[in-house]
Amino acid sequence: MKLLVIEDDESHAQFILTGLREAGHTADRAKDGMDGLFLATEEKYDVMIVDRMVPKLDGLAIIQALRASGNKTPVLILSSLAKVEERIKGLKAGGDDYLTKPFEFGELLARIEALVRRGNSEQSEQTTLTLDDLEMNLLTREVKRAGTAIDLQNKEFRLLEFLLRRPDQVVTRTMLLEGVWDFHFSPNTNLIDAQMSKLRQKVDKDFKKQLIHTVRGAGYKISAKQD
Amino acid sequence: MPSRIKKFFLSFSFRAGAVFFIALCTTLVGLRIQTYYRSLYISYADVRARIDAHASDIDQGISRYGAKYAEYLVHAILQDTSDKRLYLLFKDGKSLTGNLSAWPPEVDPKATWQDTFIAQPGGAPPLHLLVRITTYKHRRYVLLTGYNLERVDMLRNALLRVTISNVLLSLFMSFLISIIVVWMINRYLQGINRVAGRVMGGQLQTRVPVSGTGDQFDKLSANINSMLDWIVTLLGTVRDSTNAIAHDMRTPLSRHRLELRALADDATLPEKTREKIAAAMMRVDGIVEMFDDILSIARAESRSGAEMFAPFDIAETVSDVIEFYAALIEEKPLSLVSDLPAWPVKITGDKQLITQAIVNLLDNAVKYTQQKGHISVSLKELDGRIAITVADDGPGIPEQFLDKAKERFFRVDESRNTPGTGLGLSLANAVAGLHHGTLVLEDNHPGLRATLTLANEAVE
Repeated sequence: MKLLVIEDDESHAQFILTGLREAGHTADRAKDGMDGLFLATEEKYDVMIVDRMVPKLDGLAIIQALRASGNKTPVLILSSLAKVEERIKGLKAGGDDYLTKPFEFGELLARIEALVRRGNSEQSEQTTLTLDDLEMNLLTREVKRAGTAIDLQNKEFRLLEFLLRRPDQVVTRTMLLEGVWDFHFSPNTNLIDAQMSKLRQKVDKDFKKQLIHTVRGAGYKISAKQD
Repeated sequence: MPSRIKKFFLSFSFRAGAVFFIALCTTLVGLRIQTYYRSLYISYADVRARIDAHASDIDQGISRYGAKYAEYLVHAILQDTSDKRLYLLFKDGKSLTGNLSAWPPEVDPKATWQDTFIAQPGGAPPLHLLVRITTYKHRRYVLLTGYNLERVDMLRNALLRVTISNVLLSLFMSFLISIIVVWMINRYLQGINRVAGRVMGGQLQTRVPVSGTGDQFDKLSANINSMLDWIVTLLGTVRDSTNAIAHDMRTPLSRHRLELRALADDATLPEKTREKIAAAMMRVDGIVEMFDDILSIARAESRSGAEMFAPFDIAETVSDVIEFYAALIEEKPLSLVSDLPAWPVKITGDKQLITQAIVNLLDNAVKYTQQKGHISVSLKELDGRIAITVADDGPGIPEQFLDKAKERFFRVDESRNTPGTGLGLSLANAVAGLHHGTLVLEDNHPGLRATLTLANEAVE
């Protein structure tokens, strides 16, 4: 994957670039808004990471300029402005995701990958989601594993659906909070682990093959592949 | 007395109207009555002066020519038929001359001035007279001079009629003017009130209309408007500075956390050191969380968060929060009873802040209630207000701290070792305020009962 990082803060930029390279991606960095806009229009990137408050040209202005010229490259906004209004402003300007500083690198990476996948496979109107022998019917709200029905509560169903829509992808606790619960603040994230262990009990306990995996330092992943 | 009538009597309109009416009435009616008495007094004094003038003629005659002269003088005066006066001269109790046959029984011979009615012969109406009694030569001669007050009475009657109609007119005008003035003041006050209400509801751009006449009301309006401008400026400054603080603090904290993360992941360091670094990283998260809470409280308290208001189903939110905690409640274990309506309950508000407030209340209950304890959550809708109650049978908050517990960073001593920022209840309280509601903390005997009330009214 080829990424563009528009970030003026030296230590943040270095940390992100190192992390991306370690994860096997290539990345360019722009120190200010002008450079950033120039690079974004000249080169083809898979994802852009844009800080909002960069010198010369505001992050949101860069995104608006790109969107106005038809550039649809997924953009993740990385900002110190954490208020819900600011998030809404960022998404309205054309950002695809919004992450506030401080952040875990695992969170950033998971979100970048989610953005790329979303860009590749425009989600069609699916009525069933399947993974290995796990099957979820979105209309009847029935979940079956190897033909056996699994009884899930409302949010457990939503949690499993969220995972099944992103097979083989790392999903972070914050992504789950935002996506499943619509909580845009940081309550006790341990609660996600408690929820997840309950879901695992129901989905994986009686089966030899584990589908829900914990990804250390990042979150969870649903996958049929065994590590 | 029905409360509505009582309310009316206590209202500003009634009191101001009454004061204005009484003041105006006293002035106008007083003026009329004064005019009446003054006019009457003048005509009365005129009559006295005329009597005095004649009496002094007679006095002079007597002193110059002797008492006997009075008899001739009176006689002579009586020849002038145009004179409507009555005269009667007595000597040693006997009538000497005059146009009265006998001393009228209504007149007291010892008093000087008398206002009296004298009966007339033949059923004619009694004569209204002003009488003066004068004595000469050691009371041997007594002169009665009477003046018919018929014209004064006519004047009195005419004046009385005019005065009564004037007084009635004054009463009516006072009443009318009072109502108009009170109505004008009320209309003006209502305008200001409406603007104040809107501003408190978050519409900070609303201003009191200024008519441009430059009167006192206009000056008040202008002052209120400049006060509002000042508030808006201050709020803007607060917002700008919190944004700046957010940025200026979050960036170094984020940098700090990135460095700690790199160290925690560094496999060359001993395991013990890495654990300590990871713990330090968690503390950075704690600071950021506290910081976010402070900003949320500030936003809710400044009432500038109304732009985030949107309708949503609060019953679903409460049930989501309960479900969010379900796993932890099972794990501890605790028992939770919920009493929520089965139908959607729409409210217009800031969903994130309200959710956060409910999370904070339930989080406290789960955190402080001992194993096998009980928690109950309910949502009630009443008169356009929504009350969410979270009650537990944990240690509760000592009575004297129930109000203090809503203050920022307040923590009961015993709970200082439990994780938390001391901002949870304070945030819930600010959120209640933003939605024109309250947060009430009570003793649940045992435990704590927290009731978050929110007004379910769409902001204009």
